[in-house]
Amino acid sequence: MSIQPKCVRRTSAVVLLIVIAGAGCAAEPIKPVELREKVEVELVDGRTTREQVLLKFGEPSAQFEGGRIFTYRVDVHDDGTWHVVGRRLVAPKAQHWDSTWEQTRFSVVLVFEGSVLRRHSLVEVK
Amino acid sequence: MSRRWMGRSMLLAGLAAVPLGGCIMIPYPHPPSRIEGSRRSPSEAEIGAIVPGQTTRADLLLTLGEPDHVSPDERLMVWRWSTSEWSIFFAAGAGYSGTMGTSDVPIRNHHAVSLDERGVVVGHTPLDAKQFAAACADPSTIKNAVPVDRGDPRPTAGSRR
Repeated sequence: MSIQPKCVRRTSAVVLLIVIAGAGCAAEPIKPVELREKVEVELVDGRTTREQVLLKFGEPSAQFEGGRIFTYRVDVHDDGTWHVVGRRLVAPKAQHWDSTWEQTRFSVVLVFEGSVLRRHSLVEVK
Repeated sequence: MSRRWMGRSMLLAGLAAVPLGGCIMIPYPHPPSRIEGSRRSPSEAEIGAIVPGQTTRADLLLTLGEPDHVSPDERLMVWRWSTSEWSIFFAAGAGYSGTMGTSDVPIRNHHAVSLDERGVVVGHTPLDAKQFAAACADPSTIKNAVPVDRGDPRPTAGSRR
C-alpha cells in the first residue's frame, strides 16, 4: 500500500498545528518583572534630582509641603512593563472614588531635600 | 449552610425567576474582601507605625502612600478603602430573556490622621462614612478623636492635585 504525498503533507500540516498549539499551552506565562528593580534604577537617594524625576515620570499625581514630597501612581502590566498613571486618570470622581485606584498598583512616594531625592518608597496599593 | 448548597439554591431561584417574569434579590454573607478597584486596607503594622509626636508627614506618606483626601492646609489626611462582607444575588426575567449576577455591598472605611503646623502627627483614628462626611464638612467634629489645631491655618504649602 502506498501513501499519497498529498495525504502526507496534509497530515504533517495538521500535526504541526497541533504541536504549535500544544507548545503555546505548555509555555510558562511571562513573569512580571519586579517593579522595584526597574524603578530603583531610576531613583537613587542622594543622587537623583527633582529635574530628572520630572523628566522621567512627568507631573506627579500629588505633591505636598510645597513640592518637597511628590507622589506618583504606577501600574504594572502582565508582561512586566509599567507606566505612570496620568493625572487625568486619577482625577477623583464624585460618586465613584474607589475607581481612582483602578489602574494603579503602586503609589511611589519621593521625598526631596532641596533638589535632591532623599527618601523614597513604593507602596503597593492592591 | 454550605457554600455549595447556597450556590445551588441561588441558581435554582434565579432560573425560577426567569419564566415567572419577576425579579429576586438574595443577600448573603461572605468573608471580608476588598472591593474590586479599591486600594487595600492599611495593615496593622502600618497603622501601628503612626506614632503621635514622632511620625512626620513624609514618614506617613512613605508608609501609606498617597492619601485619598487632604485638607487645604495638609493637616488632615485621610486614606480610604472599600471592603465587603455581604453580596446580593439578583435575578430578573421577562418572557424568554433574563439576567442574573451578584453585586458586593460596599463598606466605606477611612483612616484619618491629623498633623500639627510642623508636619508631625498629632493623632489618628478610623472613621466610618458618616464620620468622614461630617469631618469634611466640619473638622471640629472629629477633634476629640483626631486633635486638630484650629489655630490660624498656615498658607497652603503644597497643593493636592
